[in-house]
Parts: sequence; structure tokens; C-alpha cells
Amino acid sequence: MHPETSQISEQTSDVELLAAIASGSEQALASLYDRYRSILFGLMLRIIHNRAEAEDVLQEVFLQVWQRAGNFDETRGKPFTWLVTLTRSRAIDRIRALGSRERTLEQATREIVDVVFDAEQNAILAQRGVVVRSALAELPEEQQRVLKLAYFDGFSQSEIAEKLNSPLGTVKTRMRTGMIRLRELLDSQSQNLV
Amino acid sequence: MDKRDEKNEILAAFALGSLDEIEARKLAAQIESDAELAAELEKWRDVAANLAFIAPEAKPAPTVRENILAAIRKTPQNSSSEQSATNGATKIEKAKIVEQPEESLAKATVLSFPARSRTSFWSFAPAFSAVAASVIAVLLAIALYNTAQSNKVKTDKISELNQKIIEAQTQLERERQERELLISPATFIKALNGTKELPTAKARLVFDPKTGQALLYVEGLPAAPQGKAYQIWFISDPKHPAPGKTFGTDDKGKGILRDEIPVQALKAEAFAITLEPESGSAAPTTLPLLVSPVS
Repeated sequence: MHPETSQISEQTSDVELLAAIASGSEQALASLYDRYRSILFGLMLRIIHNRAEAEDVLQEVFLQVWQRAGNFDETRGKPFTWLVTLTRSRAIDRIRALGSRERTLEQATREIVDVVFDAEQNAILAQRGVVVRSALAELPEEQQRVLKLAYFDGFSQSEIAEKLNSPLGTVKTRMRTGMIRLRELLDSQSQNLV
Repeated sequence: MDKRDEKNEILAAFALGSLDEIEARKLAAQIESDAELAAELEKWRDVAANLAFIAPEAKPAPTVRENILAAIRKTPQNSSSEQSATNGATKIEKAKIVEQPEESLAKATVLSFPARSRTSFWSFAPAFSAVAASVIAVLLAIALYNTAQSNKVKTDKISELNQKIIEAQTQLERERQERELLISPATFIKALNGTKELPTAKARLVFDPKTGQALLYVEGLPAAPQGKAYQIWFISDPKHPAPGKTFGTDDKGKGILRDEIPVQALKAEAFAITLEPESGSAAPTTLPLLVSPVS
């Protein structure tokens, strides 16, 4: 059956969607976009702090998904991880290109972060969001801060050490401990997910 | 720290995109030839990817979707493999890694430029040029250092302010939702009164029975003991109260809870609050401290 005519629904898995995209299904790409747009765009805004730039990068990401879906290998990773990694990398690349880790306050202030409760969002994703946020909340504040500086601001461990005026070893330990604990919490709580 | 910890430390940092350049370069090379290491890295990437859920969700403009669909109609799909063993992400990291040598090359080019100022008319020119070049290089280095320091301080400040803005915007959005709930004609308000266990406690529950969005304001509830928390219950069937979220109170005995009434309890007519384990209970394990009168 041609992917364009196959029945794509909320139940279609991400792997199936990527396979359909690789076969040239625009509908599959649109479905993947609808499924993850709020999360990915939220991530993009959190990193770039500029709506127009974030929208531009989001387009680039999905264009790249379109071009490279055929190369995705489900045995080597999860589609969600691939999408998020791609999105984050593109966003970090963009702020570096713009020099916008030095972005002006005025620019950031102008930005209206359209935080939403997306009623169309997949219930499983919403549930997963709750699980992740509660897991992160269990980490000590200093570990959370190190993880956020690395992930959302693109700082290296050395840069974080300088920023926090902490020894590099301390930053590494906090990052490792935080990630290990987060992994344990997510593993244990994921059993409660649908 | 044992070898396992060391490996975890490096992989976790790499997955967060935070490994310093030399270590990142070394690890990228190892991953290319070690499938087991690549698989382990992918697990750390799964953990890191979950951090995306922390960012407040946001909706892009509808035109973004239209633009993407228009763009893909003009874009051929790439069947050749541009990816490495970890679904393309390593390629991104590698791109990051090769930035530095290019920058270094550029700096080397700039620094070698003054040496070209020699001419045959000036017998002292070579020595003079060398001294001048050295002085310029030193001045340039000092200027660059000062600029970098100044930029770093500004960057840090702006980054902190940005974070505060995001937090303030999130808070504003939360307050907007609360305000909408409070002024909506569909909203109900229920009072909860302290039982004989805690007669001075009182609470108000504001909720929309259609959407389930609910806000609870409590007063007169002392801080819960260590390992315990207060939990709200939505009661449509007295034998099976539906559990809500847990919450705490401040040192003045006040607390606010934002919750969503479960679908099965949207027609709840009574509400109660009990003291439960911090993680919450599926069914009440203690007597209610506050209850709403049944209407």
C-alpha cells in the first residue's frame, strides 16, 4: 500500500511514521509535526528565545527529517530522541551563529513565549511530561542547574564551572550524579506509563 | 571513581552536548568503532532528550506547517547515508568538534599577517616589523582577552535574565489560566471545612466541571510531617474517592494546588483532604481533615 493512502492515525508509531516519510508520504511528515510541534518548538524557544528564529529552525529540522528519514535506523535509537537531539543541535548551532548567547535583553523581552496547554497533544506525551518533570524535581537544585545549563544553554562543563565559580570536578560530579539519578527515576517511573 | 562511573560521566556529558572539546573528539572517535559504546551513548541520549519536556510547550504559527509542507514538495529525499552509527547525532557533535581547528587556523592567519610588511627600501624594516608585530600581537591579545571577559560577564548576566524572563512568563501564563478559571461562568466554587481533627482549617476549591481544571486554596493546615503530604479527593462515589494531587503548605499554613479533576470524577459533588504519604495514595489511608458539604 502506498504510504500516502495508508491510514495514519494517532496510533501510528513514530517508527512507522518515519518509514512512511522515507517513502515520500507528506501526510506522515505532517502527522509527525503535529505530534511533536509543541514540545520541539517549546525546546527551541527555551534555547533561542526568539520566536521568528525558532520557527525558522523548526522548519529546517523538519526539512532535514524529510531528507534523512530513510537513514533512520530504529535499532540504533528512538525516533523521539533523534528528533529532540536534532532540534537541540540545530537550536544551539543557531544561537552560536547569531552570537545570541550574547543576545540582547531587549530581544528576549520582546519575545512572547506562547505557552500552551495543547489540547491536541498526545495523552501519552502529556503523561510522559509529568513523569519527567516530577523526576527532575527530585534532583537537588545544583544538579538540576548544571543539567539545564548544559542542555538548554549549550555550555560545556568548563564553561559551567566558570559560570558557577565551581571546580570542574564538582560540575562533572553533579552532572554525572544528576544524569544517573534521572535515568533511574525515569526507568522506574516509565513502568507506570501506558 | 571506578571505570564504570568514569564511562557514565563521559557519556552523560556527551549526550548533554557538554563534554569539553578534547574529550568529545576522543569519544567520537571511539564511538565510530565501538558499537557497544554507541548503544550505551544512545541510552544516555534518551535520558537527555527527556529534558525537552521541561521547556514550556509552545505552538508555532500555523504558517510553519504550511511552509514545511510547501518546502518538502520541492526537496528531494536523500537516500545516501550521511549518518554515523548513532542516527546522525554524532555527526552533529563532530561538526561541533571540528569548529575549533578552523578557528585556530583563522587566528594563525591573522597573527602571521604583520610579517608581510617588509620592504627592500628599509634596511631596518625586518627588525622593526618583527618588534611591531610582537607589540601588535600582545596588544591584540590583551584587547581580545578584555573583550572576551567583558562579553562573558554580559553573557552570564543576560542568560540569567533570560531565565528569569522565561520563569516570569511561565508564571504569568499560569496566573492567566487561573484568572480565566476564576472568572469563567462555568466555574463552581466549593468550600471545604475542617473536621473535628482540624476544625480551624478551611479551603476553597474552584473548578470547571467541563474541563476538570481545578484550583485549591487552603488555610490553617500546618506543615505536613516529614514524608507526608496533603492529598485532595474527588468524591462522586463515596466508596471510591478519586485521588487528586498531593500538596504542602507554607509556614503560615497556606497552600495552593493546581490540579485536574479526573474524568471519572468530573461529576463529583464532594471533596475531601487527607494526610497521606508524600507520593500520594490510591485510596485514603487517614480520616479527612477537611470536607465539603454535599450539595
